[in-house]
Amino acid sequence: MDSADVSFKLGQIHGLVGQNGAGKTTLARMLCGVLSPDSGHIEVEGAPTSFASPRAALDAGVTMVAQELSLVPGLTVAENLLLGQLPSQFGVCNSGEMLRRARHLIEDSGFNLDPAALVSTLSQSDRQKTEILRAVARNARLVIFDEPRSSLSVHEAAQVYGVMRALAASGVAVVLVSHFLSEVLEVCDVVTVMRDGLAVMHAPTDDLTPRHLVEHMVGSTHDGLQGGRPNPPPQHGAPRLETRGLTGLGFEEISLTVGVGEIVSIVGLVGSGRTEFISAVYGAQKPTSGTILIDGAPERFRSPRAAKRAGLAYISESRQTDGVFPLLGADTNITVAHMETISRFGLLARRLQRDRSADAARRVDVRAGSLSQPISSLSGGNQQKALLARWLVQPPQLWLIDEPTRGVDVVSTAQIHSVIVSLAEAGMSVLMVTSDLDEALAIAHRIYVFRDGRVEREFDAGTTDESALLAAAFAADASEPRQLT
Amino acid sequence: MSVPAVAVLTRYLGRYGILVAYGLLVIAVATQSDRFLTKRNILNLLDQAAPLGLIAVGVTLCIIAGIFDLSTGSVFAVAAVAAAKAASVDPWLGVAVGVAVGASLGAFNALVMSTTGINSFIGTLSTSIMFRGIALLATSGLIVSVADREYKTLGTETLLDAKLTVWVFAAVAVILGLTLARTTLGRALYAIGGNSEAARLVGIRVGSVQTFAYVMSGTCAAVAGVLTSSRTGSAQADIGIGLELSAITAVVVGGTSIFGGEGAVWRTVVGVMLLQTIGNAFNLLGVDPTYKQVVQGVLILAAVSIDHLVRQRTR
Repeated sequence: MDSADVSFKLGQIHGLVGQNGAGKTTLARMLCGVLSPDSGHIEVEGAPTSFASPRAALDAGVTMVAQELSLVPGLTVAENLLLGQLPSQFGVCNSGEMLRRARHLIEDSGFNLDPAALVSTLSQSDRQKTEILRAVARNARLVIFDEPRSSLSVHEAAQVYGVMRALAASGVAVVLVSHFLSEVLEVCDVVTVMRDGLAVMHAPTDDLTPRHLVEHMVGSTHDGLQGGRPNPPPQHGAPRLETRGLTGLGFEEISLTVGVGEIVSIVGLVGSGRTEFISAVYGAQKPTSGTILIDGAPERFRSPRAAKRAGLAYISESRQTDGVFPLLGADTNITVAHMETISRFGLLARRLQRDRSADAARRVDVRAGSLSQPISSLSGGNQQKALLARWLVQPPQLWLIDEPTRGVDVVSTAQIHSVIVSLAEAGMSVLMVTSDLDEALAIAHRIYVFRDGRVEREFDAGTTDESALLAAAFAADASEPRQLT
Repeated sequence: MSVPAVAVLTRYLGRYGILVAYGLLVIAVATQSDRFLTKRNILNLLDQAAPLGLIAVGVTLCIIAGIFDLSTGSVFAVAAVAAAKAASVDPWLGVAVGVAVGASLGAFNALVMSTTGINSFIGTLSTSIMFRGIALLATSGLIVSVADREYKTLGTETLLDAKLTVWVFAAVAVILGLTLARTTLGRALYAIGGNSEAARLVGIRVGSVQTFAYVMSGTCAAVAGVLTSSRTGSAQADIGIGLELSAITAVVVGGTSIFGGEGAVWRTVVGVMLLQTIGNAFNLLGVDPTYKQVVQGVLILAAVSIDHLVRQRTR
């Protein structure tokens, strides 16, 4: 981060947006005492302060709901909520009082959470809710939400925004760091755009549109963001992928097709079975019944390795947990799925590794000082592009991509979209899962909406819109979740 | 010095911090004792380091792949006993049986972990107790002595002044070092240790690669056991107790991450030499042996701390 003058007012919700690497998270971390500034200072209510530690920031009333959750899995929701301020007498925890306070917090938020449940048994979205309530429980005067809705459904996100409004109404300064621009504009009173470590725009949200924000984020009007729509796929022959009544943990009776040269998207709420389905196609989880046909021939993959050999590639939704090898170089990360192409008789050829990884990295524009640096030192967008590059070393016939652009900045998102479109135009097939309806509408030919583990409806992407997709995802109460206010 | 030069220097210091720590130790001991840097003492030091070194080099593969092997001390004993018994028939049969037993016990470890899915720490802890019991059963608690003269010369034979044991250690270290650094198999070991689910999803055969690590670890421990029984001309069930922990200590002291995914064989070799040099220094300087363990612990802690701090600084 370079230099940022930003002020946050009590009782206001303040949006903070920018591309990945623009310095939002760095700024937030400084406010919380996790990092210390090289120069400049932080003022709290006019008095210059410097936070030597996260503890000092907490004492001054600054708290953050982090992107990486920091809950203790072996403790209950109530214990996590009140950790560090557990009600006790002579060191003995008063669990009745603790549960009462936790229940109170949960009721005020409108969340549906069991205070006595162990955090390790909770879903990702329930964990996120716990994390959010913990910040509320600390009676902070400045609460920073860093990408709070990344694993929440639209409905749950609306609840989170409700909590933020309640906080602001009670006189707390709230900061929202988010990639969901239209939601930022809807929820926040003022917004700051950061670019290359600088605060480049600061304005009330009243008459702003997402387009304005994007212009400031990229520094100029950026027309390439929509990406090209893919050409219609050729309509002949057996589909590349067909599932008939595929059933497994989290999904039931899924029958769908992906044609040659076609991009098909699956959308649906978190928990609708879309992730479980796509990983079962790849053989990462075992389906209990049903058939998978590749180019018309039935296949039952016993392992991801078998699926890969049959010409499938898979990019999971969680880049950190099962995507990248954080300690290894970007070049190794790119070539790791096809080590046979960079070796002879099992011996690695460094020159081949350098050439192949550089070649694949160039095709998706992975930006790195050197490809041999650990991949964990790259930005989220570049890591995601490296994962695409990994499968470009030897392109497969069918790509299974779960959340191609989660946590990825605007420019990288556009690049990833154009790569996916070019794959289809080269005759490959793509089945992708996404939470971003605009993404599905922009690049997919057809869209399947999943609900409660089943295919709710199939749409032609050219003749539908966001509200129709949402209506299907929520079934009956389609109008309610769009109502974020 | 210019800024980039300093940056390069600190990066190298970070990467080779453990070598710096070892160099400082060597200098310190050399200034205190004239006998330390003599050919005789160095050869002796290497000879003493070889059995632990062999085990530690094998264990390095496991640690990098994110698994523990706590059975190496017991495998060492079982292989020594088996080899000593078979050597009464033929010396080379003894060697072959000893090594084969070690490889089999390693494969057994792999089989247990892959079928039950239990954590390797507790799994190999259990099998190590079992293996030790097998050695006890096979010997009825007695010493097995080897009469064959040829077998006994294996451990004492010298080549270019160094004992054969040292050459075997060097050869194994080089082969496994190259395997880790230069082969697809080595790359797979790092990948599994760094993120095993990601490794599975890119089509790496996680089970087979881990089996390789267990088998190599068992084989290395067996080779150490065979050479030791050959040197002493005997074997018994209670040899090598605690060697598995010394081996892991050497691996970690060298700078290989206990969490897997990074490290190297050369680091383990330095770690082993560091541990042995500390012991050697005690003998040479005539320090009261009752202080030995305390000082040894402090020195290990110091070496690991220096390495850790320097690396953190340069990250």
